[in-house]
Amino acid sequence: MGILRRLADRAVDKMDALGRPSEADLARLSPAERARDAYWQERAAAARVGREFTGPDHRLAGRVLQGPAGEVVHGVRQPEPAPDPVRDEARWEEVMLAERAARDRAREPYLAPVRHPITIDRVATRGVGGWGEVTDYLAASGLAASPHLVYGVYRVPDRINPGLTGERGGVVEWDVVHAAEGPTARAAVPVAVRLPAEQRWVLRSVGRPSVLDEDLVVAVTALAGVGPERMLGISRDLRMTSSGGGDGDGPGSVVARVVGVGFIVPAGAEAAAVAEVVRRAPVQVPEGAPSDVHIAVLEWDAIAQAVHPARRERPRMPSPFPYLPATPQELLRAYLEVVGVDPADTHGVQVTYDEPMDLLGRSTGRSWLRSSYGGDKIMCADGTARGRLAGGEHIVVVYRDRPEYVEGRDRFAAYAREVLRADLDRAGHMRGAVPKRTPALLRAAERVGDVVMFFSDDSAGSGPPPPRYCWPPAG
Amino acid sequence: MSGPDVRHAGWAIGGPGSRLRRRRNPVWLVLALVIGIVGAVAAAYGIAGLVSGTAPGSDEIVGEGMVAPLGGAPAAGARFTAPDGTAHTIWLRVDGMDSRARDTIVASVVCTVERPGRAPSQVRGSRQMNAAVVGDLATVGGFTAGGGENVVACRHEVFGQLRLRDRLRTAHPFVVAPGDPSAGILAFAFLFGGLAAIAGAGVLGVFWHRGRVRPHGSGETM
Repeated sequence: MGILRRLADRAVDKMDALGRPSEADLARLSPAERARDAYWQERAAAARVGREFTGPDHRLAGRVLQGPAGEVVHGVRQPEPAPDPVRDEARWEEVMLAERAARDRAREPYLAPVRHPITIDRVATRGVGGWGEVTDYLAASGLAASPHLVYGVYRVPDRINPGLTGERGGVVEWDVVHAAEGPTARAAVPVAVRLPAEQRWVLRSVGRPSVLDEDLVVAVTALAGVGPERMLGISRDLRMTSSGGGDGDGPGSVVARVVGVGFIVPAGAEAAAVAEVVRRAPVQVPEGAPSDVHIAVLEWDAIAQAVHPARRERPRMPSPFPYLPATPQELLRAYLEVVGVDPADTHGVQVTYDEPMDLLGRSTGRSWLRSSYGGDKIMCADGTARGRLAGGEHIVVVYRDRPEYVEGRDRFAAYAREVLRADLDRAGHMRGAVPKRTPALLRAAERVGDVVMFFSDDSAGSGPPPPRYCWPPAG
Repeated sequence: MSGPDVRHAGWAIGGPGSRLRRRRNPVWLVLALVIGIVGAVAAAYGIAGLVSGTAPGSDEIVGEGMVAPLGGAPAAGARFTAPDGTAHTIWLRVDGMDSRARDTIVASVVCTVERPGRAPSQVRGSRQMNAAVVGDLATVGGFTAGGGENVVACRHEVFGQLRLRDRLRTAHPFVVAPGDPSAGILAFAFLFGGLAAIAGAGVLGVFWHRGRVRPHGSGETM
């Protein structure tokens, strides 16, 4: 009997091994897919030895949100009956600040022993002139003369007044994240360098890792000899396009796309050196994450789906999950404070996007709120209340690495796991392999298809955009 | 929603804490108003022209006759008295005709106008840009009458497809009434031009309302 059982077990093991993906197969999976694979392997192993599996529900495997928010968002359980949302603005502020104070207390044990001040100044620009106006602000505030005090500068990824056509004449906000105590004397206007995504800045062959926006900037500035202490910020260039949304036209869409990346350096020799590197493109960018520089990519969109599902309104208060941050800026601050990042070490910080994202498609709630119109009027940087479609997919922090930051990242991982109950690290999901180029004939057919889809207003069939900065592939 | 982490710092172009006013150029507003008013007047004129430019009533008809059939004997023309220099229109009665046959029949009509004090004039149904069809009447063309008794004699000539030729071998009644056959087209032009001007005024109004935030200075970009 014992021999028969051993033989049967061996047969089952061999069958398992046949269905198991190879190391090469696993390497091609995204971190989330690998996490799901590991989850099922562990569960199968427990079943084989007759042990009860005590891990989370399979619907949470590989997900960003675990814990109560993950269970509700991913349908493991129904949400608890929630109190009526606060509509009164003053009361809303009060509840929000009380919840925030509780979150700050929960974060205290994880804070870095040495921290630097963090101020986020939000400025309004006219859509058409964002970069130029922000560089002017950096000069007027004196921050341009103290890049070692600036964590970063980024275009706020929200769409203001989404009902109006285009952003060119509208208001676009920018955040300036810095550690300065107050304004200083006016400095020289710094230089914004913009690298369009459709241009081939890097030579990459098919199957090699693509280039992250920040990889390119880090490589360009390193070649120009501009360190993070001289960088004023990196911001992915975003384009928001609206369509549909009229009567009988469905909710329409407001799609945010990354169309390039820009960065700001002080004027003078550094700007000239950068210009020379850009002029001599293509740029040598090492494959994968750059050495000595850490690029943290944190997931914000999954948290927003839990705490801010109706993007045209203010976040619901009381929050359905008060242990989660209410805004991406709160999460950004938490990262900087827990890791203890010095602004002199940062190349840039930003709340931004990676893939094209339909903001209206992310918004739930009342059907009229999913159209381009309606929703709360929310105060903008210039003191005027306007409609707003809150956006943002990722938080990206780029900084020169140090041993103390490795410890800081361990603290942040523990904070995310224990307090936020979330796996926020998305850095491993980036830099997908450069795909094969479609043959010319198929490209022509695709172009015809694009034209047909343009006139039929059906964007669902359009494929993923090509990788940025390295398309078409080399070789 | 910016939360307690974010400090509102005004417009970037005004430096820290700026609260710049949006400046609106009154030229845009004046231009929008002028174009809008002109457009409204033109549209109203067009509407009035369309209303008054309908087919002539029976009390407006000054003469009636028959279009002689193709290859047939001349038919009775229309005789009427008019002051010198007044515009008149020849209308063909087209009730009961399908549109393709009607266009061919109208285009095949050739009229000769004998005018006192003026040279005889020929009016061809095929020479008008578009035959205006109002009710059971279609325009053949217009002419300027001479002072006194005018005579309009019409006949069908060969025109169009062979299979419709038999339709031209029949006499068709026509009438003459004061007025210009292009008045309807002109009225349409005024109406649509006026509406376009109103729309343009709306766009200018948006420009004016949007205004500009006057730059304090501009940054340098590469």
